[in-house]
Amino acid sequence: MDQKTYTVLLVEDETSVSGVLGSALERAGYTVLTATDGEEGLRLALLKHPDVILADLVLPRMGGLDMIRSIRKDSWGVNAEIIILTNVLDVAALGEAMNQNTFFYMIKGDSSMGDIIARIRSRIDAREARPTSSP
Amino acid sequence: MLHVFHVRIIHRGFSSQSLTRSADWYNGNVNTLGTEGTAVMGTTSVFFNFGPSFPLFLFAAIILIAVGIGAYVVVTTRARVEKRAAFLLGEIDAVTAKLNEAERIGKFGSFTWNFEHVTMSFWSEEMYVLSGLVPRKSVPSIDTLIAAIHEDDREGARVAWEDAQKKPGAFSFGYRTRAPNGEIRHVRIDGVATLRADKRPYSVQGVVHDVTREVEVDTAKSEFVSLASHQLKTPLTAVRWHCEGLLAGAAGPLMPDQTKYVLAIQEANQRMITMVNDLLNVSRIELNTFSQKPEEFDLRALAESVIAEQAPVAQEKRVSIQFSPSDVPHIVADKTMARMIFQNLISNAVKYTGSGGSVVCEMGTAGARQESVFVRVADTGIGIPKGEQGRVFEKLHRASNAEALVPDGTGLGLYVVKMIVEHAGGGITFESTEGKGTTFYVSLPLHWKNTEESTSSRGT
Repeated sequence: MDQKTYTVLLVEDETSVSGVLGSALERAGYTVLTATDGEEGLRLALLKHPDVILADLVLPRMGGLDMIRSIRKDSWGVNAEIIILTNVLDVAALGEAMNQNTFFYMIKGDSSMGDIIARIRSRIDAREARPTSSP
Repeated sequence: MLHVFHVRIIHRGFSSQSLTRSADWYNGNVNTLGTEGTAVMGTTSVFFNFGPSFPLFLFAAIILIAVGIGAYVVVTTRARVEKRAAFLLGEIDAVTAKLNEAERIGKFGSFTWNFEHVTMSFWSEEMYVLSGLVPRKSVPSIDTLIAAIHEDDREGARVAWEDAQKKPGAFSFGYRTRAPNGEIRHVRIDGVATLRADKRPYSVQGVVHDVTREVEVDTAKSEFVSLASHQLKTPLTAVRWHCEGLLAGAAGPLMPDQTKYVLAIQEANQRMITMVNDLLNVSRIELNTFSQKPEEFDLRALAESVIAEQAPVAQEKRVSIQFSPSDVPHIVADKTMARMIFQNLISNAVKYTGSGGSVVCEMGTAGARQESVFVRVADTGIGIPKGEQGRVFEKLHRASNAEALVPDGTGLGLYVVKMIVEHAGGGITFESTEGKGTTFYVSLPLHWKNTEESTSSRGT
């Protein structure tokens, strides 16, 4: 029913996790891009401007927080929708993630794929309801 | 000592006064004595009745000799006693040196503060080392000791030392000390306090152990648990999501039996996730990396939501849950932690109560002093065997009857509850009769301790 398909970038080094979540997202109607390290995630983000980025924090080559910081330096990236999806709940990372204007911090093991997809949808809905209609 | 005493007796025995008295006695009782007695008496009578100079001289000579012998005995005995005393003092020094050596090797120091008799106060050598103080002539005061405590622990330690002096009996607590050279040690104090009749402190004595190594090992262990649990969570997540995918038909529709299998995998996996989360919570609390976000909230609503969560399990078991809150003010606390307290206590109560039983949760401030809220969680369950009640809050310990009933618990729930309650500045206790039920009593301050400190340190 929806003409526009939204793009989700999944930055996750664990392919068993990204594979199953990626296919669930595709079934839910999203276009899915996957990156397995922070550098690739940054490159894809700036190149493809996905609607939502799901980022792990523990990533090879460039950590998740470093990747987010770099994305925030970009003129598009400064307002990109980023959801942190990790198993590492540590206070410092959480504080830093909040400073980087990420909207949600989810613990993988404690979330069902349904929760995650619902969260993505609500972020996109909130964005669509906001500024695009004004200019 | 014994010799001197004897000598004195002998000496006194020969004093002229007593001899006179004996002579009178002999005279008066002559008839009662036997033959030998009479003979002796006769001789004595010759001395006193007629007083010739020769026997008197002899008598004086005997006395002189006796005194001489006495003096000799006294002098030699004294020399021997002095030698013995010097030897004993040497022994004491040797024992003290050995004790100091033992304390140094065993990393513990001993202390006594006697507030009545200050000279009886004592600090062993190692006590100075462990307190981070330079040895001095007089025993340092408790305030001096507190001043050398690591600044982050000082206030807590001051309260602990003050409490230790107020209550008679054993006390135990720990903190970090900072030596003049900057070295930081973890120490544990185990001691006993005695009070005077008027409740003022009489003495405090005990030992200080250096537990730096133990603390380091414990931290390393907690870090390991934390790391391992994180690593475990990734494959557990993969299993969880694959199950969800299969159940959602990602690989085509499932046959009823296939669905059953996948549900079984999913359920077992969920149990593992819960266990890993428990382990992570413990290591977070132990490592003090638990995110603490103090907020004001309604404790009654929190308890209600936990009870609602447990209701299906309870219903299935035919266990009734009754909630009776009285005056419950809002509290300022970490909501996640507060939730863990109720979650553990109420789910335990339901878990260990048989069909037809009941669980009652009460809460209120119980009176005028509105500083704490009291929570009571009572069940009519299996109870805790008397012999195991002392270990209820121990990490990984499970009561034998609990283990038999529910084999896959972790033994972490009550440990976590106690850690959180104490961290918050509250207390927890219980009473239990095996086969009849258990009641837990929890007091929680309305404004939790330690929550704000963590937030401010996080901000820097």
